[in-house]
Amino acid sequence: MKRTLDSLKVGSRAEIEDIASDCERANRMATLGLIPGRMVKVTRFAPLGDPISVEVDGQEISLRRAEAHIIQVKNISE
Amino acid sequence: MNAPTEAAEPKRQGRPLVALVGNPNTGKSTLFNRLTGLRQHIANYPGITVEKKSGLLRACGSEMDILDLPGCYSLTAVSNDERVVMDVLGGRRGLQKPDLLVFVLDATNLKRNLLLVSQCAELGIPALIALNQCDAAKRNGIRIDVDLLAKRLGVPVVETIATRGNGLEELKRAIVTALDAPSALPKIHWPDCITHGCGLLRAGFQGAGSSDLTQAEALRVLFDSDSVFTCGVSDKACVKKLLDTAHKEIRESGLNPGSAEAVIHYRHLETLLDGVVEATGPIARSHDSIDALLLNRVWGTLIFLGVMYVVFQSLYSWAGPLMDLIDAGTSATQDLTRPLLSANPALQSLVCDGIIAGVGGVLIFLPQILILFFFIALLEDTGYMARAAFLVDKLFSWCGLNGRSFVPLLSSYACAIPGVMATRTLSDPKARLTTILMAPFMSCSARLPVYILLIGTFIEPLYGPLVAGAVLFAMHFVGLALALPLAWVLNRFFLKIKAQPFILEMPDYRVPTLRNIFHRIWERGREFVMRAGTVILAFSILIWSLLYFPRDPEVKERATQSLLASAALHYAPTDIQAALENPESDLSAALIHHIDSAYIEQSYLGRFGKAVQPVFDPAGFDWKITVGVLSSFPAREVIIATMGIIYNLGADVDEGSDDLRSVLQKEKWTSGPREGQPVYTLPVVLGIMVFFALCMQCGATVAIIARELNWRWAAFSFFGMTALAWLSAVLIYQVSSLF
Repeated sequence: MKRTLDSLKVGSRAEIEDIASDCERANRMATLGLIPGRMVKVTRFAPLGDPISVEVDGQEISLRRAEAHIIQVKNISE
Repeated sequence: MNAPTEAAEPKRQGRPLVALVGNPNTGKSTLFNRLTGLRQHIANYPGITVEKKSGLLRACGSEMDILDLPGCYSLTAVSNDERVVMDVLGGRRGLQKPDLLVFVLDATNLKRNLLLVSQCAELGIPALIALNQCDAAKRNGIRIDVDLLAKRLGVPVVETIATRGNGLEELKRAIVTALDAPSALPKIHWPDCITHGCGLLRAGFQGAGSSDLTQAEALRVLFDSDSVFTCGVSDKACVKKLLDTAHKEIRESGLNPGSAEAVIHYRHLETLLDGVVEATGPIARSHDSIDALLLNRVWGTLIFLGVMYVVFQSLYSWAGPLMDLIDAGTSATQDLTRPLLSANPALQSLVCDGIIAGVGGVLIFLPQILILFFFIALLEDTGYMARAAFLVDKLFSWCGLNGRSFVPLLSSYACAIPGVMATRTLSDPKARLTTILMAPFMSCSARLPVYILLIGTFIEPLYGPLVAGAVLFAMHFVGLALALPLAWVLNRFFLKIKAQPFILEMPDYRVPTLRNIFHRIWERGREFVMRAGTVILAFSILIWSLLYFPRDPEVKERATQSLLASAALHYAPTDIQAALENPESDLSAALIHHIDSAYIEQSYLGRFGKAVQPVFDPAGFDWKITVGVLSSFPAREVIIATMGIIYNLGADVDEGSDDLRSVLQKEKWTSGPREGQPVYTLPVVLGIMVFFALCMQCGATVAIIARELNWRWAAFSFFGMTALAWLSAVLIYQVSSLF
């Protein structure tokens, strides 16, 4: 089964495999550096569990779980 | 749709136009302020409420116009801000196309910042790079080979530190040189599937009879499903078919059309930056350890609450003395002016009660606006605002708002005016619209006197201070409790704007500069006074005239006669005569109050109130409450003074006034089926309070919503809230009458 970014625990790393949705959201996320092939690290969850904060290419980005859900990841090290 | 204006490109009329382009948080606006000083002009782009900040730049004996474009991460236009960037860069919608682009880049995150540069290369506009925040990059252990970067990009690169003004002179010289000898960025080499897709779109658009697309525009259509260029095309189905074909081809080449553009640009940039950026040792980012504290579940939440408490207190309490000062200034000016115009009572009232009171009514908002924007600038410039939004986003995401709605809504508890203005920090147009519409529901400080008067008069004597306190507390949540579900309904069923993903960059923590903060406060304050202020003033003059006219002298005579007739029952005629000659006497004061009350009853607004009383009858409101409610539509806090006038006590009463309280307690219906019963029963009192909690009785808020959105939304908000308030008051009265 494909794992998605929202399923990762705090502290885990993974490689972005693909962004599922077409255009718009994918475009936005890709612009900020969430593109296939890059490593992401989940740095923390917000106090209420959502959104989550990830590190990619030396920058910190916050996104909601619903958005993280469209990012497929592989090579997970938890 | 406007025809493309590219043909007119080289014709340079007057001063050349230089545009500053860059991501948010790059120090672009700081650089703009440094370049122009206070020689700035803030206007709106035609048709949308996006600020157009332009200024005059003098360098090396030449003058040029400089434009500060809204910060954006890419040319993908989702928000109005981003749309404007595309419009300006394309010279569309009658806007002048810039002669030179100055890209302001954050040196600590060069690759992502260059994505926008790489996209803009397609436009073929001459460019140069201001590499900003070089100091922070050095501290983070990032070394940048500036000469190599300039060589690879093919345009000049200038190092700057905008906050300190370093590199400014070099930048000015580079701008002048670049205008004389322009050099453009090299265009990216696109894979065949994309070049082919663009060709398909261009041919298709030509065939559909719409304006021709340039290569740059075709790329936007290809990657940006609701780009500005597709908006103008009537044949949406045709565009969709073309896009489907093009996207299918991209997918067949192993790329995802959603991320393809960024992937290709980043691939290109990685080669370009190879050997240019060198991280000496591990990247030491300053924010990791601070974030560990500020975003911690327990400490982060506590600090957030503390920060917000300070912001709220400052608005709610600290602004008080300044507001009192403005109030005192207004009355002093009125008192000084009144005798000068005593020859003409109508003019006197217009100047004193209309104009001066109106100007005072505008200025009174300034302390809260300035204080709020001081904190917003501070929170934004330090980088905390994004963290705050991260912490509380979940509280708002379910109803279509987001974490950035928190500060505007919190501020609205003090006053909706600064609250609505603060929604500028929301980049998502849908969340911003919803936040603006919800802001007036928050229980602002002007509602407090009404609550205190009614709770103190009717609830405390009956149920004791504990219940009174609880009711007062509950009144502050009535609006919020209704606003959030309403936001959900509005977003779910009515707003036809696409929701944007809530993706935030967590910028590095920075030390803010006072210069920048004061610049922003100055901008906001000036904007409020110049633009919203004029509308609010016009409103207050209109309401003044409705309360003043027609001012039939007969009204005065009749009021005088009726008062004197009732006085004659108790006093000897000589005593009355003596009392009338002494302006300090109780009778003279009573006479003035009586006349004021009669005039308000006979004014257009008073007549209107009496005429529409049947509308408020189901809520148990008599005509006096109705007039009070109607006259407080321009500003709800005037209800107390209006009630004072209506109940013959004069306008100088306040919410703690014992006279007013005892009059209200004794007030009985004088006619109709409820004759002889008290007017202010518990359901009526609760109904009035809930009415005030939900009603948009604030002309200034209507004006500011019209400014920030448009008049249609302002009207929607006004009528919607009024209907809701009426419905709630009626519901309370009718339901409680059943028991």
